[in-house]
Amino acid sequence: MSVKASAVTYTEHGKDFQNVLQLTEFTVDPSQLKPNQILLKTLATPINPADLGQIVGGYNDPKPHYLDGKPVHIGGNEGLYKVIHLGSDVKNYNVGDWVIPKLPSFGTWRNYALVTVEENDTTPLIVVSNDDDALTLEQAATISINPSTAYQILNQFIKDWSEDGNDWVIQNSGNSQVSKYVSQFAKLKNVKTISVIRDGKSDEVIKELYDLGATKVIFESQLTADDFSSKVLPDIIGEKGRVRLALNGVSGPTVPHLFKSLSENGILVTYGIISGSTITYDARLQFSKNLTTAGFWLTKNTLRSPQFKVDTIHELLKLYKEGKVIDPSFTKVPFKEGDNLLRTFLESIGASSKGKQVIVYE
Amino acid sequence: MITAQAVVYSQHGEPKDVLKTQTYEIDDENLASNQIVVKTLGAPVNPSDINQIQGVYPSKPEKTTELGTSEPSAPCGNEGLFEVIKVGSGVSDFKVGDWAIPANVNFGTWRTHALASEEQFIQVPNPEQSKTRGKPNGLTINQGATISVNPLTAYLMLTHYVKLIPGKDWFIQNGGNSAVGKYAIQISKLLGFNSLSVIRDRPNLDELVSELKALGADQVITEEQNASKEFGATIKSWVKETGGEIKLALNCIGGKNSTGIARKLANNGLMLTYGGMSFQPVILPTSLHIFKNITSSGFWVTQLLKNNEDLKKSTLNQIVDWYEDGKLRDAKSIETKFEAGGEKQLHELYIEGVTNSSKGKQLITF
Repeated sequence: MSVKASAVTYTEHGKDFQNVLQLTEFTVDPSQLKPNQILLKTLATPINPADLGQIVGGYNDPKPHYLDGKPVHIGGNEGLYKVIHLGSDVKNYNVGDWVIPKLPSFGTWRNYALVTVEENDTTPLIVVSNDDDALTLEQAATISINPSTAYQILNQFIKDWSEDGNDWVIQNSGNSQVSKYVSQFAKLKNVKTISVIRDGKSDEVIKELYDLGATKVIFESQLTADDFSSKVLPDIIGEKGRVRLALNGVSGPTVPHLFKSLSENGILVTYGIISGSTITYDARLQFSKNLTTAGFWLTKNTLRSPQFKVDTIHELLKLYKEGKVIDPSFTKVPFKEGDNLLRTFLESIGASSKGKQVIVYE
Repeated sequence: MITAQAVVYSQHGEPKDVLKTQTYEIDDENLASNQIVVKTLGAPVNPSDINQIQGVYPSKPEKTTELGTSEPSAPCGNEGLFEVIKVGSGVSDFKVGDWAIPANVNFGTWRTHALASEEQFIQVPNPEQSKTRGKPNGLTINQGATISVNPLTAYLMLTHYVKLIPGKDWFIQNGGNSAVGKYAIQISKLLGFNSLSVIRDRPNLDELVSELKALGADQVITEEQNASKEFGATIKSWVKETGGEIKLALNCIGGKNSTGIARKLANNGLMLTYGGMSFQPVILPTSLHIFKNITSSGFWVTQLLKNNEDLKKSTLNQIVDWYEDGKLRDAKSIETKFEAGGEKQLHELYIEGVTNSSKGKQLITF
């Protein structure tokens, strides 16, 4: 019996999501599955800022999908699926497995997905759970991007974190999902974090950041004040403290101050993509303190080495199973069979500015 | 006893306000076994020397009363060429008549003589030694006195970080007309790399372009061309012709200029910032970091060589070789000779040197 499925798609770029995004309906017939195909039912798909950036255009163009013969781009890069049917030749997967796509630009915003296992890549999906109790749906749905980014960013640029409690990370957008994971993973290594947040954020927000493992939470105006690097910062990190990594997720006026906070040989890593943004910093500080600036892009890392992504997910799964990761909160948006998927997404995109939205499929 | 003089300061400030000449005695009859006595042949004025005196440079010499000053004072100057005039009984690396340069910065080179232990100096060949080794040229005093900062900076930036493929790959630099810029042009030619140098537009542009091309520059462009999107196509065609990539950018200016040269880098390229003359911040589009995986690092020759004597020696040998073989031209300095007991005291001469630095590099010879 064939299944009626739908996807949120686009054929042209633009920021007017109401007009750019379309509903594309297609059918899948489990009885017609080819020997090398897998049918997935969607469990959850988050909306990430990078997904929206991709639709607006200006960076990596996903390759088109052919749904009922029509070439379209499907929105989304992150999603959790359940294997519901397997072609006769498919190895490596079992019906019931919870899986996430291995590569970016899978096009995750759809309620069913048909995946073809190619000869040159027999594992297009990463199994995150084959026992529904091991990992919660929330954890599995959002493991692919933010926790992976935080995990890799902490380990890629500094390989020799000291466990003596004197190594520090400073991060702007301290209230972002990535920053919340950074604080947690850093704490597991006894690395301290300073999370910088916008002025005026509530005590509740600050408390959540401390609960998640931030060592110190400060406002942007404290970071940009004249006495920050000469007085406030030394008081926070102590005499032996070293700020080895600064993470820039938003760019803007905090960046030169993040840079200035770095100790000798430190590195400023920019990972947030805001089109047209620049970073600025003092050239003299750069050579006198031997400071480096670099970029991080999970997509690029994954394309360069898909196995690296798989290894990262496996490391994260271990941490989750040991109960060492707290999930930052997000809003669950239910999608029921028969709902209009496009409408669900447009409403959730509209609400994204208030916090992370994850569509959960019943 | 040798009566020596050194330029010192006890307080940071403008050189004209704080520099003094300190006269002191060196007991050359009672050297410890590892000590040497040197006399100065030449010591230049570098921008970093001035910044040290002003107290705005990240590294500075300690203030002591070693030279007999009433207040703790620091000696000035970081580069210089010296001749060994006396050696202690256990000294093996030097003999009288050898030329030598300080092994590290902050030695205080603006002086007539110095007493030091032999590890504080590195030998460079004097002209006679070069001749004995069959070399066509010996080092000039200017070459020896200015060897340890600019030529080393240029050589190490071109070789120590990114592997440029001779004949194919390119580097781009702003400050193409600076001393380091000119060394980078020549050294890249000697190593077979292609150079793209950015200079300020000026009335006598053609003259300067020909001068840089005579030194070995492959392409020279103006800041306007550096900032122009349209001109990018021309640069791409140059690079395409050699079948390589622009893998390295050298920045000593900052501002839009740094943005311009960073934009020319190929994926995974590196920008090294080694100076901040303009005091303008470096500005980088985040897209270069994220999508092109560009890295931007600092380069400071002092720091790199501080704990790496082998690298310093091997680099120095290479530069000395090129000078001896006549393959590398030194940046000319304006030379002024110091006469002991003359009209001007040593610190007065250096204060003039600081003032005249805007006209070109000043070298005091002895």
